[in-house]
Amino acid sequence: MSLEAVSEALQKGKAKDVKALVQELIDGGTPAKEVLERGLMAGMDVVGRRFKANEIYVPEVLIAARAMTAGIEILKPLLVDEAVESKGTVVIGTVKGDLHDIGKNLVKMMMEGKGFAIVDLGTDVPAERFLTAAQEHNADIVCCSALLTTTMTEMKNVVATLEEAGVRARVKIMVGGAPITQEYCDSIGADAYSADAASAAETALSLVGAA
Amino acid sequence: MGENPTVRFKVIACRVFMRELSMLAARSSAVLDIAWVRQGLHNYPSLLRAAIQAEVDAAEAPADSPDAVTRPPEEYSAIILGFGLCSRAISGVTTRRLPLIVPRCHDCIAILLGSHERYQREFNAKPGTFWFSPGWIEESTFPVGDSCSLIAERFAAVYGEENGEFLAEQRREQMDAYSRSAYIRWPEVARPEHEAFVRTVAEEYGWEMEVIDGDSGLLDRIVNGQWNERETLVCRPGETVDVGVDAEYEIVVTRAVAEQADGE
Repeated sequence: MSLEAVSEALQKGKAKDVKALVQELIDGGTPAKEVLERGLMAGMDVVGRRFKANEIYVPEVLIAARAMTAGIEILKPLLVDEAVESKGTVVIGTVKGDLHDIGKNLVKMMMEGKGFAIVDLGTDVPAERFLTAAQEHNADIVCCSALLTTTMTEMKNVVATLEEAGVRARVKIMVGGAPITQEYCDSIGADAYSADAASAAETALSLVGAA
Repeated sequence: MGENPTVRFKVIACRVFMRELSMLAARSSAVLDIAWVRQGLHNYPSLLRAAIQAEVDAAEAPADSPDAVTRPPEEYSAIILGFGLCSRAISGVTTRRLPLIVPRCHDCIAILLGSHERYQREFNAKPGTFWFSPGWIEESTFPVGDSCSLIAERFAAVYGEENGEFLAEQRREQMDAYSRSAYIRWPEVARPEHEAFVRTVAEEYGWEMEVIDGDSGLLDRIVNGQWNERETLVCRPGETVDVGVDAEYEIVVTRAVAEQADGE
């Protein structure tokens, strides 16, 4: 059994196979962290990139995410034993007026996999809630997601709200979602844009100086 | 002298407008030659962009049978897009020979409501609205009543038994975030069964139900050559549709500078 087989089963959304393969690898002595990173996350990395490139459809992403969750369930207690250190705290949500969360959930999954503690505010999140959550949890990064061209402007409000509260210098702001571009990120004064879930997690690491 | 007076436009439109646009085409003084693009591609903007560009290219291609009996595509006066920003899908679309007309709005909801501003007001007032129109009812599947098991079967056929039910459930769960069902009704094409369908959805999900009268004015002006700077972008041949950011950080349709021809 190989890590590649885990990745491939995950990409096909075969949750049962992923579960069985992960268990076999663990029983065979592969460290949980390696199964997570080189099996599950490697597979999800491919899924995220192909989704961004419109090569696969929403259902394929959902079943891959489901398969990943199934694999992680087995790994979770073992990862705690291996004492993976936290890379930082991320507050994540879909901006006010926007009810879409598939992309946001993928990013959350990949960031969790990279060792971030995630505070998920869900969808339709007003700028003030991003602020209070960032303060309450002493967040390193605030991540804003939007699917609609009608709601993406709300990201500017999040940047402004954090600035007005005087916490902007302590918190990095990441933005993403189908209509978002690097140009848009720059125009609203956010710190980073990521095109897909895997690169969002990589970017988050570099923002906290852990890449 | 003696030239056929009828103006011809090539309209490339989303199938979501099937009934509304067909009605306008039948009544128009111009000939509207409509190419329909599959509804729902806004979820995959690069696929939608490619589909629109392919139709543009086809409309600009020389006639394959220049028999001098049928009118050649060269007689189109312009290509008109029946799309809004649609997840930026229109960004990058370009023509070589004909002007390209692009509505300045977010999506089909604004077009059906009759203005960008009206959509903004509705959207800001009740963001949890699931919008329905004849096209949204007829061209897409919605997880309600018996269609839930049909959706599960279709998913199972493609993604396996293990995932069919799960995906159908996910589609229902995605609806939990909404709280209002709004049916955009154009009196000209209104059908009671459409309104009844939307009412069924509202009842099953426990949503508020609203019938909102649409406004055919905007689409009518766009497909009949009544273009004004506020509502429509007119790209000259060779220019590319671009999407930019305005003073309110809102993304808007802008015209890109024409690319320089080779050798210039």
